[in-house]
Amino acid sequence: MKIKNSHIIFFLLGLLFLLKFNTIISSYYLLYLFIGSLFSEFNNTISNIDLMLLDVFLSAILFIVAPLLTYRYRKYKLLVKELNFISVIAIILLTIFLFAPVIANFHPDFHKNINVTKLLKPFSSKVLIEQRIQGASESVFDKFISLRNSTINQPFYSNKFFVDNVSSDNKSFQQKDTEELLPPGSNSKRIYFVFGTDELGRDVFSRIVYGARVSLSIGIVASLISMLLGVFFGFYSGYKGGAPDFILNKFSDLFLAFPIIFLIIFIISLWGSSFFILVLILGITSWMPLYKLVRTDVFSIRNKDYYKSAVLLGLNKKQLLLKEILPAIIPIVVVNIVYQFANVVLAESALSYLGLGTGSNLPSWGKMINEGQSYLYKGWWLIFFPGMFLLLTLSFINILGKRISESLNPLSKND
Amino acid sequence: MSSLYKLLSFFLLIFLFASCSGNDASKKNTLVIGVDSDVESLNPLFAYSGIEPTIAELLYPSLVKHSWDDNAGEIKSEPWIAEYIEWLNDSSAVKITLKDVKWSDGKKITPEDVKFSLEIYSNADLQSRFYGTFENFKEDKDLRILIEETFTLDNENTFTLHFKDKAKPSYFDFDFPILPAHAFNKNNPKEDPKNIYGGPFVLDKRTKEQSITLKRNKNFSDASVGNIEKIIFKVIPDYNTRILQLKNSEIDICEDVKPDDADELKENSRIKMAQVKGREYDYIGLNNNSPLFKNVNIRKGISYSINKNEILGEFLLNYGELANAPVAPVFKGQFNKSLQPINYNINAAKSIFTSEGWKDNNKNGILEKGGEEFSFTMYIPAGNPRRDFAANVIKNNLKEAGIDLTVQQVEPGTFFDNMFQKKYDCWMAGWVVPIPTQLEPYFHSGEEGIFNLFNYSNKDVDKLLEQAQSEKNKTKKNELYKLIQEKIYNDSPIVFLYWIDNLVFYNSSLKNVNITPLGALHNCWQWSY
Amino acid sequence: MNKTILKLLLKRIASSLLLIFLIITILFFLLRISPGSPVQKFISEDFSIELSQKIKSNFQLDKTLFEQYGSFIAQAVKLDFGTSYNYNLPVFSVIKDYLIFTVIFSFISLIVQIKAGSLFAFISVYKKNKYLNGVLDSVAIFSFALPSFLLGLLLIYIFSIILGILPSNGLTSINHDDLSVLGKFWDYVIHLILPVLSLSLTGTFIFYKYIKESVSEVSRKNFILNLQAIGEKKSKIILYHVLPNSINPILTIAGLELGALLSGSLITEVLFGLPGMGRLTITAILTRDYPLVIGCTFISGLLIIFANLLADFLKTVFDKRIINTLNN
Repeated sequence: MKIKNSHIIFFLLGLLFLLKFNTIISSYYLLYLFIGSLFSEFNNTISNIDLMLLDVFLSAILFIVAPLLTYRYRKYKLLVKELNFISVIAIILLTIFLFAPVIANFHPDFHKNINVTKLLKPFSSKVLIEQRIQGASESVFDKFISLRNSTINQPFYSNKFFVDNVSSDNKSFQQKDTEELLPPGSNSKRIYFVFGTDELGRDVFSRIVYGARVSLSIGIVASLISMLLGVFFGFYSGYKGGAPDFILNKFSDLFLAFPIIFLIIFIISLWGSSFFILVLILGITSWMPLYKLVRTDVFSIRNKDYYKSAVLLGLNKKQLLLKEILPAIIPIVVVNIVYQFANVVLAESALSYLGLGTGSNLPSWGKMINEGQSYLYKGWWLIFFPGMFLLLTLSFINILGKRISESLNPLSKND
Repeated sequence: MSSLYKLLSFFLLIFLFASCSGNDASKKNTLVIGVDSDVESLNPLFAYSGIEPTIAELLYPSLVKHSWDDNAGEIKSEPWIAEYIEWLNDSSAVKITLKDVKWSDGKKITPEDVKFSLEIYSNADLQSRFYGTFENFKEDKDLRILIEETFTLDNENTFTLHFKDKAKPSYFDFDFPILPAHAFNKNNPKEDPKNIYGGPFVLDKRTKEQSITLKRNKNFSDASVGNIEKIIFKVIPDYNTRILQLKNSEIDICEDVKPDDADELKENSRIKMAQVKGREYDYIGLNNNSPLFKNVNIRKGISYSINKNEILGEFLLNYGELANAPVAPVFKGQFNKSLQPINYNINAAKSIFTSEGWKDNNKNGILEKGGEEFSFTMYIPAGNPRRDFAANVIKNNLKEAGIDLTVQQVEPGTFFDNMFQKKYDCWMAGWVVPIPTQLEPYFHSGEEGIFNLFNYSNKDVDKLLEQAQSEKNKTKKNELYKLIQEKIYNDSPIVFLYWIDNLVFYNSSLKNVNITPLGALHNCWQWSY
Repeated sequence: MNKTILKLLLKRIASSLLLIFLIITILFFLLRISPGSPVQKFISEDFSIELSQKIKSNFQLDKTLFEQYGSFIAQAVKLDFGTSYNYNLPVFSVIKDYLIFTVIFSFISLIVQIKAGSLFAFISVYKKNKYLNGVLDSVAIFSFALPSFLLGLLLIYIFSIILGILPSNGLTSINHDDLSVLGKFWDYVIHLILPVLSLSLTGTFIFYKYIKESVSEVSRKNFILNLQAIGEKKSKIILYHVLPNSINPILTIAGLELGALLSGSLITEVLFGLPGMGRLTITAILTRDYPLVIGCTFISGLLIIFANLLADFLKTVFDKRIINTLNN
């Protein structure tokens, strides 16, 4: 039997369900409690909504919707295709991107007892002790709060701490050289840090999982911006011709002749940096190649008969763009946006490497590599794992771009 | 295919050569210092940053030299190229006789050179690094020293400096590298001077972004000169590479080693560690005028919430100590031992916030008061691993206390611009405190407080600061400083975090090395192999 | 024939000059609208008003924006960008040293890239070893995806930290001056191996890709098959027939690549502590040394444009040869 793309989706989701059974079930219960407490204490419940909560709800819903959709569209071309390197990576990345809160063991900023968890090698393990908080489970709202605190990955827990080891009778624990009694009513859980921990004792695996979101969303948003600019300017330039075209064309030459990385650094150093500024700058400074392509295409389309007849039919500008030009330029736009995406992810990682990233402590992969550099001797894993993910993702995008351009343009296929 | 083999054999050859061309060249009596950035200018007028002042002090002699008295915890000054220094008329003037010393071109160092140095350093058009620091001298409105009223030549070796009325001058007022007047272009003093030096070393060679080589000045005679013939400042921007070269004995001394690397380096018998007690501290600046932080209890509550010991223990590995006030513990006479640092105490913090009316009614983990959540943004300069580490710990600590902290990293140039323009309500930065202690610029509420970026204002402290500044009696001055520390401690205008030790590693075959708070390379001309 | 080429080149030069003019105009206005005055560093509140005025007039900030712009352009034409704040030297004399290094380093890297790229491409096209081709193609894909700082770190980790055979920093050893001429040369070589490797990998495989594509396209053409059929020597076919016909896209890429290299290979220079334009520029930006920023950007833009012009020029030269061979 052929292994199809839909199979790997089911497999991954199933695996996730087995490994994270508790988290997934409690997020449904959390959703139920949330709706319940909306009725009892509306204002307080509303003020508790934050991105992390929505994130968990979204993945809970997606967890049901995704398999259903996959099943519903199992005959769809993309899903029927036989499994290959690209689709596996694509599906894994998508899963990580969507289900980050379920996959990650911890919040990316979570650290506790730095002296126990600092700079642990990959596959080391420590014991996490959780003290149970008594009482306070009267109302639905209180239940909701306490379940939320235990289900959602928090950057901080006051009732959890790491120890080196717990005695076999579960009564005492060892931390460094001391042995102490376990607080009553607490349970312990052995935690494996598959990718090790960093200098603050944060789980590298969780950070990479959340970092995928940061790096990929920077790539997506910035390349969308650059696409919009490129298509718009290209269309405008090609449609108008004459002076506007000349000016825009010189302008794009100007951008091309300019060492862009310096412009970006210059802008960041003058106006500071944040996620949005970074995305905006990366988008704005990368529209030129697409502009050139679209412009040339529009010029050639304008000389084609079907376009001329459309103009004679009296279509307005908007219709001309949407009906006649856009469909013709879609292939180059798609290929370009894929490569653009790779460029942006690369640029972001280079900027983060220079310490000029998003300016927040969002764990992008480039930032993780930059931070890991100080521990080159003591913690190779701090660079290795984010580096691997960056490399795999970027190669995946490059191969994807190549495949798309090949499939759109069968002539370019050689050998 | 043959070219592939050629390529391969070429690389093979390179590796063979590379592995045998070790580092066995004659390093006799050469001191190689690993530094993180090249100097921008070797012109002594503009030796502002990094290693530049250190080099200027090796190249140009000064009237006085300093040493550190570890027992008293204070700086000691003595004449260097001055033979005698004599205070006149109740310290309003000083009479100085120069030793018979020569510049590297054989010309004598004369009082005219001192006069020229004073003129050129205080020249407003040049903006030298000492410009604006001659407040005890008679100056015009552009802070140019009125040289005719200040300088009188007594004989060919002796001159007198007259200070302005009510000035309280000290050795530090004429502690600047003396410049050779005949090395400068009179018409355009901005030009780099000719290569004439008077210090223990002269410039040998400079390769941009690679190294600066100094060699011994044959004309300089001082009993305490060591036997080092050459000092090479080797530019190694990457920290890891500096450590690697330190291990391989490619460099002989390296400052600011990270505590994380110290333990491993200590095992290496070829290098020794000098742990210099810090005179640099990190703090969290809080705008004392902002609605949130103008309440002293809130500031203290924030201080209680922060687990400074964890940062000190896990990042600095206890190479440092908690700070309680702005006087460094190395200044033993002035340091107020009786003040206990505000330690991490989450319950104390929580009860302070509760009594100030901050409660978490909606149980989202963040305190509220009057519908406002307790949240603010802390700005930190990007690219400083220690502050990144601390900011992460602090963020979590404050979360525990019920405060939502956002940490925003800002590119350092922008950060310091904004910080000095008082654009931030909360930020984390550090100060390296000067020797001797100066508190007025940092804590005075008036015009003197140019670094009072947190708008601290306490009239008592202002008065005490003025008294301390003008007090000549050492014991009384120290007592005043202790009192000031106590007042500042009680007001907690900022959150004092910790003093950071400077970890210096050096070649263990170096002798006579005495690394003090004055700087790792201070007096390195006295070292020997 | 020559006249048309000359005319074309002159046209290109004219439009390039227009571009440079635009670049410095934009930079000038960017600096003037940026927060904080450029003289802030030099003016303190203690100064008298006259002195502040004097400093301001030194920087010509007392004039209107357009007057400032006018004199700025007038100076820029003479390559005079003022005095660097950090170095207290005229901007161009600061840039000079860094520029020499960057030019040499760029050309070394470009030669390595073209040499290795064409070597791999010819192996791939003519050896027709499926296994080897697969390896080369996958390495190419990975090399496009490998950020240069990651590659640099990897090289340093392997060759400097673990094996300890190659230096990871700087251009020369400290005992460089005591070495013989050969020793000095060798010193440069071992210091440049890792930087050149990490800088050239991606470029090598870009050349590999383009050379492979255009060579295999030309090789399939009838006249080449013809030559093969009449038994012409393989090396001769490649040198005299395949290369001239496939050179155009390669030269375009070479021009772009050279431009990118000449404007400074920032990351490599930072990682390996090399005195190049990239590092100079970023330091200037981060320390707000505006005259130097303008100078560096201007020079970089100039170099990029120069590289593209060079490629265009070479293309016309090769084109001529093709025309000549056809005429013969």
